Order: sequence, then C-alpha cells, then structure tokens
Amino acid sequence: MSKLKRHHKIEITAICLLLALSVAFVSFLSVHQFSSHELRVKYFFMEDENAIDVVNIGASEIYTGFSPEYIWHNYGITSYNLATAGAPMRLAKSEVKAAMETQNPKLMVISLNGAMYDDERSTHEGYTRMWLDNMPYSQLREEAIEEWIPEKDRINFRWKILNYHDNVARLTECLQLSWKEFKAKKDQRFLTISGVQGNASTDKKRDIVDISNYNKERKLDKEADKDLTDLLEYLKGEDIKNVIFVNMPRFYDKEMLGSKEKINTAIKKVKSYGYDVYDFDKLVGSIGLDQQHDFYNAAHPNIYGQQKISKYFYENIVPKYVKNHREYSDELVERWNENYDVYTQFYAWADKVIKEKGNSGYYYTYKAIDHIMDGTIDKYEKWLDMKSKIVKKSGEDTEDRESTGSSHDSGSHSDFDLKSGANPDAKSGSSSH
Amino acid sequence: MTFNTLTFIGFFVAVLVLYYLVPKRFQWVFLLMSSYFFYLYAGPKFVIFMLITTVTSWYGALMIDKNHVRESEVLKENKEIFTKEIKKDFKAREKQKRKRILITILVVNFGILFFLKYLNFFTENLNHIISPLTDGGQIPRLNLILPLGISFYTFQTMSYVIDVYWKKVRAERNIAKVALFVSFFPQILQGPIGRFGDLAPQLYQERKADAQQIKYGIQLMIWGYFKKLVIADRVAIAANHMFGDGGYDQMSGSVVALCVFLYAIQDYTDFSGCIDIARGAAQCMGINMAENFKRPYFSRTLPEFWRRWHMTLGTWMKDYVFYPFSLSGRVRNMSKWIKEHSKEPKEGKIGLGKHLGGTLPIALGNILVFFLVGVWHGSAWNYIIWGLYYGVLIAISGLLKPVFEGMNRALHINVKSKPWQLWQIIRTFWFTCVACIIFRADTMTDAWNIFAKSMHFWQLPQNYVQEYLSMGLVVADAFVIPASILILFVADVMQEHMFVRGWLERRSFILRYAIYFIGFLFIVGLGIYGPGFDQSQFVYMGF
Repeated sequence: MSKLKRHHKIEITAICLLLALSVAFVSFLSVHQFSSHELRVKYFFMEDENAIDVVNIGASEIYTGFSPEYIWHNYGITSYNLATAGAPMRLAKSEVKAAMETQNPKLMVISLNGAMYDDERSTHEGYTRMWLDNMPYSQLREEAIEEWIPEKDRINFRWKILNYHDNVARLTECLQLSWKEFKAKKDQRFLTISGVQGNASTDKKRDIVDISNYNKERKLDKEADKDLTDLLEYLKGEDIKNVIFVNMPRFYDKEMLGSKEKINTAIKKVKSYGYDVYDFDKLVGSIGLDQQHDFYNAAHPNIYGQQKISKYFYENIVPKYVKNHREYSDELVERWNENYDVYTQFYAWADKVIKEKGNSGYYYTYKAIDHIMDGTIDKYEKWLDMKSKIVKKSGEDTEDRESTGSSHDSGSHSDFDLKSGANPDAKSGSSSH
Repeated sequence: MTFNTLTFIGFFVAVLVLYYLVPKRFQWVFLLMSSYFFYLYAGPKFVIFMLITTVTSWYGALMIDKNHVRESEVLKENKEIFTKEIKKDFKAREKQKRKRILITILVVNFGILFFLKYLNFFTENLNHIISPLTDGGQIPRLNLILPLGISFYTFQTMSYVIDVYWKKVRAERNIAKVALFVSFFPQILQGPIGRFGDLAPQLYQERKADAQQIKYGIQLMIWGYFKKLVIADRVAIAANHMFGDGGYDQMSGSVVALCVFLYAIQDYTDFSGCIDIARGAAQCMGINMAENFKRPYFSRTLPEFWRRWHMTLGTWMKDYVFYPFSLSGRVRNMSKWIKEHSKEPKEGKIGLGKHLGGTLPIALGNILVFFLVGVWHGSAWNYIIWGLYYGVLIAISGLLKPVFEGMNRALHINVKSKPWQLWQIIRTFWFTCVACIIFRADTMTDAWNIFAKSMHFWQLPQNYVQEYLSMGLVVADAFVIPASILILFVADVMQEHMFVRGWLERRSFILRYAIYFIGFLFIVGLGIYGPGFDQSQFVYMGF
C-alpha cells in the first residue's frame, strides 16, 4: 500500500515538473516578436560588458540613421543602436539605465523623436513591449513594469507566455528564432546587426518646406512632456554627463510642421537642463542629404542617407565627446570586421536593388542578414518579389515591405509583422485571436 | 476568477495545500471560507443573494424536518389513542404545514431567480403587448446584474429542501454546513448540480491526502483545460464569426455547416471542460462530484442525448418536475380516460389509443420539462424555443414509437446492426446541431437563415482561402482544430469502453509521460488564454 502511495506521489511530482518544463519550453519557443527589434534588444544584452563606446537610443530614425558597421570600419569606434520602432519617450530612461549597467558607454545619444508623440502613442502597449518584452528578467525590467504598467495588467508582462504562447502556431518561425537565439548565446556571434537596419528604397516626390529658420514652438502632449522631464531629471539627478540629444533629419512638408514645432519645444527644454542638442533638420545641407536619393520616406534615410548621416556625425560631433575609444580585444575586433563584411554585402545588394527597382521597399532586417550570410540573398529577393505582389493585391503590410508613403507625424518605421506579438496595433500585443 | 486564469490556479493550489494542512475537524470550515472568498472575489454585492438562499433553505428545511419528527413522535405517542381517521386528518394537517413552508421557500428563492433573471424579459414582452393600449407608455427596464452561478446554486439548494420535505434526507442543523453545500467553490460557476445526500457528507468528511485521488483529480483538470482552452476557445473564433453580425451572409453553405458543427463542439467542450476542471479540483480534495456528461454526441436518440448531456440538470428535472407532473392525479386520470375510450386493438398488436394513453403523460411531462430547461438557460425566446424543440421532438418520438418501429419492420432494417446505429448517432447529432443554431443565433430570423444555408452543405466556397479567413481563423488553426478534435474523439471513444485514467496508469513510463507532455504542450502552447480574449468566459457561466 505504502509503495502504491509513494508511486502516486512520485507521479504527482513528475506531472507538476513536466508542466513546469512545458511552460519553460513553450516560453523559450514562443516569446518572439518576429522582428529586428526583438534581436536588437536581446543582442544588446548579450554583448560583452563595456565593449560598446557609443549607444544610440531612440526609435526607427536611429537604426535607419546610423550604421555601426560603417562607423566601425571608418572611425574604429564600437556603437550600438538600442532602438525600437515607434519607441515612446518613456523608454529612454530605462534604456539609459540598461546602457549604463552593461556598457558604461563613453557617449549616449538620445533621440527626441518620442517627444512629438501624443498621449496614446506615448503609452502604447505594443511599442512599449518592443523594449520591455525583449529585456532579460532583471530588476530594471521590474522597475519599468511597475512604473509604466497598470497593476491589473502587470501579470501579462511578468509572465510573457500569457501574451505570446499562441505564437507556437507559427512553429517554423519560432523554431528558427529560438535556435538563432540559442546559437547566439552559445557562440557569442550576435553582433551581426548591432542594431543597424537599412532600406533599399527611395522617397516619392513631395513639396518640401525649408525649415532651416523655422523656430515656432508647440506644447508637448502631457505624457511626452512628463517622460522627457522625468528623463532629464534622472540624468541631472544621477549626474550623468556623457549624454547628448539629437533630432534626426527629416524632410518636412506642410502637414508635418506640427511635429517640428514640438521638437523645437523639446530642444529648448533639453537645453534648459544644460545638455547639448543637435538638430539635424538644420544640418541637412551640411550633411548633403537629398530627399529623393537618400531617404525612403519623410523621416527615414535609406542606405545612402544612413552612410551620410553616420559620416557627418562621427566626423563632426562624436569627436567632441569621445576623444579615444577603449581597448578592444582581438576577438572583438575580429567580430566587428566580420560584421562589416556582412554589411558591405548587404550594401551592395541594396544598392543593386535600388538601381534596378527604385522604390522597392525592402529592408535590411535580420532575415536579409541571415540570407546574406548563407549566400542565399538571391533566393530571398525572389521571395520578397513574390510577397510584394501578394501584398500589393491584399494591401497588407509585412515584415519585409512597408508602404513607402510618408510616416509623417509618427515619424516611425517598424518592421513588425501584423501577426506578431510586437504588433503595436494589437492592443494586447498578441495574436489576432 | 474563472478557471482559466492564473489567479484561479494559484488560488486552487493554495486551497489544496492548506486543506490538508489544517486540522481535520476544521477542513470543512476551511472549505467554506475558501468558497466564500472565491465568490466574494467576483463581487461582494452578489453574496447577499446566496446568503438569502442559504438562510431560508437552512431554516425552512429545519422546520420541515422538525415537523416530520414531531409528526412521527405524536403518532407514536398516540398510537393507541388515534383512530385511523384522526391519524389521517392529523397527517394531512401536518403535511399542509410542511407544504406551506416548502412553498414559501420555493417562492422566495425561485422568486429571486425570476426577479434577477427574468423580470426584464417579462416586462419587455409585456411592454410589447400593452404598448398599443398605453399610447406607447412602457414599464421601465431595471438595471439588474445576474449573480454568479445563481441558477446552479438555486436549483441545488431547492433540491435539498424538497428532499427534506420528501424525507429523503435529514435537515442539516448547522447553518455553516448548509452554506458550504450551497457555495462549494468548484461547482458554483457552472455546476454540476449536486444533491445533498451525495455531496454534503463528502464535504463535511475529515480526510487525509490521498495521492491517487489527487493524481486523478489533476489528470481530470488537465483534460478539462485541454477541452476548454485548446478546443472550445479556438473553435469559438469561427463560430462567433459565423453567428455574429450576419457573418453567415458572406459564407457558402459548406462553411456555414462547418461553423455549426464547430459550435456544437464548442458547446460541448466548453461546458464539459469546465465540469472536468470542477470535478478534478474537487477530486483532489477527495470529493467526488456527480458526472455531468457522458459522451453525449455518441447518443443514438434524443432522450439518450439528454441522459448524457447536462445530466445533473436532467435528473433534477426528472425528479422534481417530470415525475411529480406525470404521476399527478390529473395526468393519471387523463391517461386512464384515453385508455378507456380507445378501441380494443387487434390480437397481437398494440393499439395506438392504448399507446397514447400510456405515453401521453410522458410526452406532456417531457414538453414541460424541456420548456423549463429552456427557461432555466436564460431569459430569451430562443432558449424557450430551443427547449420546446427538444421537448416536442422527444414527445413525438415517444408518441409515434409504434409507427417508427412498424416502418423499420416494413423496411427490414436491422436496428441492432452497426451501420444503423451509426446512422442513428449521425441523425441525433444533426438534431442537436439544429438545436445549437436555435440556441446560439441572435434572432430567430438568423437561426432560420443559418439553418437554411447549412442545409446547402454541398455548396463549396468559391474562394477557399478567403472563406477560411472569413471565419477568423489563422493558417495554423487548420491543423490544430482537426488534430485536437481527433484527440477528443479518440478519448471519448476510449471513455465509452474503459476508465481512461486507469488505462493510462497501466501504460509504460515513456508512453505515459509522452502523453502528458504532449497534452501540456497543447494546453500551454495552443490554448487560447492571456490578455484580451473575450472567449475566456465560460459559456454556461452566463446561466
């Protein structure tokens, strides 16, 4: 009898353990957003400690504006775009803390893009999840959850599986991404993108307004104002000096001037705290940017614009703050050189695509990188073409192609997939169910 | 705190551990506290109605029981003194007193149920009638919220009072124990509707943890979660699209028929899944609750279907409505009258008149029962029509039984053959699918349109992909839904022939744990749960 009881007790324990194992396995498998944002954030936390000299913080204007590989090759400085699509202003404080904890960088570059968002956008769950859900479990993450998320919803952030488990239905993609993540951790080969994302498209012709002397201001929306103030107070309070702010370049038409007015207000506010701000809108001429050649929409440069901005920034601005970079290990140097090789291959492909197709709408995402590394980029291009035709028919958006229309006030660019957990338009951040 | 939330799982684990840790004599008190906590968590204001039911049924049952005792004592003491007539008279007077108490309790409790559940339905219909007479004047609609599980606990508690009245059980003197019987948390949401004689002694019993019971309980809960999260909530997506907002308009006949089928699956897996979770949770605490489902879609006739579907409501109706009605004096007299006035049948044959005399009380009883089953489900005409649909069909099948049997004989149908039995199962399932349409459709016009369209089931979609997506499903569902329904089917077939959990126990270690693991992966990975899912509400919680 007692043997029988023991047998049942063992089985109950085993069932409970198996259940826990299933939860862990499904979490590992399913917590994905199927986007470059996911990898950009996850890989940042996998970098060697204190190996990045410059951390660029912001939204899409950051990862389409700076190419860390190009910068590495030409200026010998390691940098990382710690940026996610449509990132609200409130993420910046948490990202600064993460950068300080893991890299203690020589310079942090913070974009003011989030300052022009309205309240709904500033508190949007989907955009917040792009950062929060890809951070490792840590005190920093818990702080952010408590600060941003209403108490009743916190459980869905603490237990990511609640939100993402049904991604298992996309089993192949889940397996690919989980394997990629596993391999990245195991082989320490995760620097392949360093946050860069490029675009092989050109912008449509628009009536551009000259804003070189446009200084009109507009009140920031409540949440954005609060978040910017909070960030500045934090930086001031912690005496963090290695920070500069930027307003990345855009080409404005009349409809977009409201955004510019908000940016002017934000710039004034940042200056009042004693921090340097670089308004790239006013440096468009100096950088040599051409709207129809260097941009793929109003707020986002393509691969050509990305190189021009990176070049200008690292030749004229960064040297003022980073006098000399750290000592890099041989292994790190080798890794960055490999990354540059991948980048040049991508650049060549994107250049070819732009010349052949003009407004292609293709992005330099993690998928493109994988294909370049595997030598299957031609196959990928064919697949993109086919998908592009389907998209044109159905009018849907996908990971690899986004409407090249102006993103106007939103100023954002995302490579989110409509079905993914990262879909900012899905309130729950989950599937369409 | 529905069963498919982490809060419930955390709550249940805590209750289970503490239940076996508290001193045994306080176990039932702890269960009572846990049950009230569970109920109060849903909203403190609802508890007042449950308290009224508890107090009135406890006091009423006690009064009835005391009267029974007093009557026996008086009869015993005056055995020699009372004449037969005095004895009869005394008994009739005492019965009258008990009846008054019973009726008061029933009126109060069913009155609360009627007030909260049916008043607005009643006034709406009354407004339709009186509107022309009152120049458009209307009786105002009250803003009433239905307390959680009120239909279930009211029926369960009233069965206790009636059983005491019928001397089937003795009244419980301790009000707290009655309170536990009324509020026991696993069953408060959706039943099963327990009987005092079966359930109460188990609730109050002192017990040690029994590993086998806990294991079986956990297994049953896992199976319930599989049915609810993987099947019910997934197929609900398609069913909701079809039934909601005239979605069927855009669908071809075959897709509408498919959605009706999926809704029938949803209805079964949602309700039976919840019951499995409830029964499993109770079993972990050593309490065996009544079975409520016995593979109903394998039924060969509608009466059999109702002996396998929502069994505790069925037996409640049978015991407290059907028999009292069918065996009542007036109905018996009517039956007798028909029999007396029908022709003598030819030798060796059953006369239709005689048959009618025997089956008419049953037929009328069935119509009444199913009318009430419809009313029990909710305050809307579609529920009443749904109930009557079953009642009339079952009544007709009973009344015309000789005709059908004659047809079978004439057509030389072997009613014991497997193909005939399979046909009967399919036929019964089709009737239940039609009932599902009535039950679920927003209006009777919708119900008719859906029915008509589903009858064109051979009409294939013009654009398969578009129609598939119009059901709101994603690509993966095309694999997950059939696979999970197949698992359900296999498990149900096995359950027809064996005790599956016992069978599982006899399997090899590897096979057993592989089954567990696959089951967990299905539930955790493919279950519909988490933020933003309306389907998480259990269908029968609304009743």
